[in-house]
Amino acid sequence: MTHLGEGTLQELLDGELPPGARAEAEAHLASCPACAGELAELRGLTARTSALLGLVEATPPVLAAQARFARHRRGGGALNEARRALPRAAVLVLALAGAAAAAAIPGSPAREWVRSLGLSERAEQPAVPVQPAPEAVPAAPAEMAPKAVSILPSEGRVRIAVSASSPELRVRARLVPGGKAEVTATGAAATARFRTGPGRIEVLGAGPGELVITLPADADAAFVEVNGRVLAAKEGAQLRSLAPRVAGSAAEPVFRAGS
Amino acid sequence: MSAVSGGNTDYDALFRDVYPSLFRYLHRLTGDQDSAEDIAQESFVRLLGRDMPEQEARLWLFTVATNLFRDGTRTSRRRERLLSATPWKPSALPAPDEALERGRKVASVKAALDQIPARDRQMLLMREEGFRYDEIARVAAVAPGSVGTLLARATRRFLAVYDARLEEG
Repeated sequence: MTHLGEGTLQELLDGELPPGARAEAEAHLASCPACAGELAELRGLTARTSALLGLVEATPPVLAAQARFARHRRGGGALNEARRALPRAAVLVLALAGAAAAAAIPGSPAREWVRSLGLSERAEQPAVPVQPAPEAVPAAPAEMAPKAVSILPSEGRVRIAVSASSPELRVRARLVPGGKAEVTATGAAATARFRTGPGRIEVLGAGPGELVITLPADADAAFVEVNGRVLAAKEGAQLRSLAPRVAGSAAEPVFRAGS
Repeated sequence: MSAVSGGNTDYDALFRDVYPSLFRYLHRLTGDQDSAEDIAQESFVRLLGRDMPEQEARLWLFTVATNLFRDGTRTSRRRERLLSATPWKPSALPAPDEALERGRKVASVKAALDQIPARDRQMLLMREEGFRYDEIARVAAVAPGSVGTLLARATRRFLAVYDARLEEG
């Protein structure tokens, strides 16, 4: 078989290869050290780029911008003039102060809302400092901030799909009361990128840390899929493991992505 | 997560869900917070009166914002001015080594983003915001089958320029 092209390797890393092509590529990688080495290098470069881009952060002026947008919708013609008259720094300080005050109240719905705006979790991701060794996912620095995303079920269903991760990634799953599904990537897993869609969270390129996945007890159907294989699914009021766990308990199994 | 309710777009939900990501994308794309704010705001204003599901509206907003950036001579002039007039300098106040190092890295990332081709920059930044290849292809006006290859090349170009800038630093 001919070697895999760089485009195919990148598609594999980004979870874009269709299942049939992915299976073929994985079979080739298992027997071709050259391609496996190139994949490891590309994984390192992609993770390093993502970490570096994460350094360029500015707090989005969500509250001020939303207020301006709301005025526009109400037909506020003098919007731009009013906006120019407001010192930008003052608006930002007010927005942040309001958000911080609301988010500081434990259990406040505002805490969840502020979190959803990314104001309290705009994590700065340090760069991965060195080129990774072949076959290895670059280790994220220990201080890399956790990343989290949550969704609500769509038509009663929730699907969490993990792909292109380090084989050393640990996936911890549990069922929690309520209606929200959440994925938190901690440690070196915080190199992951998230995509969300109706009732779906995709986790791509997680490093060798831990993903904590909570599935909502209120959903009709909820499951965790790693590299196309379902590892755990909600069954009645319980979580059922469909693959051997490496740690944890029946109620809170921990799987290894590569096993 | 749908933004459509009874045929009317829920603009508040849409704004809350999309604005932080759109602003982050534009801030990195333009290198300038003011331009990012202006373009994001203009994009949302242009959305008014259109009814579409959230995922579609999100891509629509990024497409409009990218076009506004491409067409925005004012923005690019501002970007050039900012880059030439305000190179990053260490603060006069003593700062911890870590902060200095981080400042150097941030300046090098911004410079590298500015130096790679605009299409590379758009594609890398859209992937960072979680868009799928077919969506990236639509905004960047490239064939969907070429996105993987283009992203891999863009990644290498970005890192090569970044490393060179850091070395010069």
